[in-house]
Amino acid sequence: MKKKIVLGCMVLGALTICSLFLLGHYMFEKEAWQGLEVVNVPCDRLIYQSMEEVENMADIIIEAKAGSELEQKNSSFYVAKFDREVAGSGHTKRELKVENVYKGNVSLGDKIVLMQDYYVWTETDGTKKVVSLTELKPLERGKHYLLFLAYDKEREAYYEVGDYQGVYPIEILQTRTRTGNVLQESELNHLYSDTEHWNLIPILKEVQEKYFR
Amino acid sequence: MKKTSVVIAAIIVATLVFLPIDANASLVNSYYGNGSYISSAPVTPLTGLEFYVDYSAVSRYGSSVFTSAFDWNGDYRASVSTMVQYPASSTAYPDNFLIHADPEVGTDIAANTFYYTASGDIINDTEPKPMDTSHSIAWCRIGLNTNSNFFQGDSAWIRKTIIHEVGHVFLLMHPSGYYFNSVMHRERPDGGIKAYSVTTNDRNNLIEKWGY
Repeated sequence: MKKKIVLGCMVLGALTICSLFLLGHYMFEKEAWQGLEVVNVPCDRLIYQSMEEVENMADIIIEAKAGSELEQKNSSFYVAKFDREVAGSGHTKRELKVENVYKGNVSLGDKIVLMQDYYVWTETDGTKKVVSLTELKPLERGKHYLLFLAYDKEREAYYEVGDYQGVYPIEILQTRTRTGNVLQESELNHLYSDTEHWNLIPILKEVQEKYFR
Repeated sequence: MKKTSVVIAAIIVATLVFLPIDANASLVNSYYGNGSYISSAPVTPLTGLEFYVDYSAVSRYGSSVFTSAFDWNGDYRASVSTMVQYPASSTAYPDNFLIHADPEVGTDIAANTFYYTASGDIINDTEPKPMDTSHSIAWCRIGLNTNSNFFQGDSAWIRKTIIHEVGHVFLLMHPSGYYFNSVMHRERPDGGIKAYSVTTNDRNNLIEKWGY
């Protein structure tokens, strides 16, 4: 009897340790891009003048929870001058779980794939860098976002309409709308590059009024 | 005595009235970066930019659109000097900056410009962009969208894209507002604020950056 209790406790203990390990792994494991230097690549891309334009260009408009990074792809290529591969463009795919649908053919609970224009590059000396072709920083796993997305058939993933104009952090916008406090630009720096806010703020105000009021 | 006082007063008033406007105008329209090329770089804006356009770009966009880069040239120091294109062999022009169609350029991106050090490392400066902070630029590459349908058959848009990216190679940045016309605005050109080609504002920035 005593032996069975000890054995039971051991099994229970092992299960607890495994559960805590898996929970810790999910909650605290760093993603590949975290803590690395960022290379910002200037891009000439489609940008929109109003929320209506962004809405029209979107195949789906959803609220979603950001999941883990799935895979990354880049177009490194050989340059004879350097006798080595150099960094090119690229993207990282991330899973999203749909939590609310405003437009498009997706349902609550669906898991879809988002493609963001950044990836981790390793130089010949082993130095790792985040190559970023977007004014958006990577979405944070576990955070909730309002997203205006279009579908890329060739890459089989959604992408943000108008880059930073297609992604809005839900928690902070809900809080600011509820309390009536003005959103400070500094509060956006965890998600958006601080160089392009002038092109974002007018649309963000429209989005706040329509989706968070 | 009275005459001298009047003249001095007029000079002071004129200084007070016109100086702030002048200083403001210069600040508002400035969008060139503070970065630079390394002195040993074989190709720089002051030696004349030399490009090589490879097969991936010529086969998608033709060859005539790439000569639009010469629109930057004027009566000042920085210039585009060479635009070698496929079928010329790239091996004969190892130092030329590359223009090609990059298969991983994002779906809604027309093109982008990369900066590399003398050893081929991509330049990892922090915000806002490498052309504003880096002094180790040795080589550049322009990557075009491989999907030529992106431009919806609008060759003027493709030409604008080439000019825009070459502007980045001159270390010009995106202007921070739509209050003057420039080819350095992102997006599809409209012939107004979002210009099809190099404007006076753009040339003034080139002169401020690289000199007469």
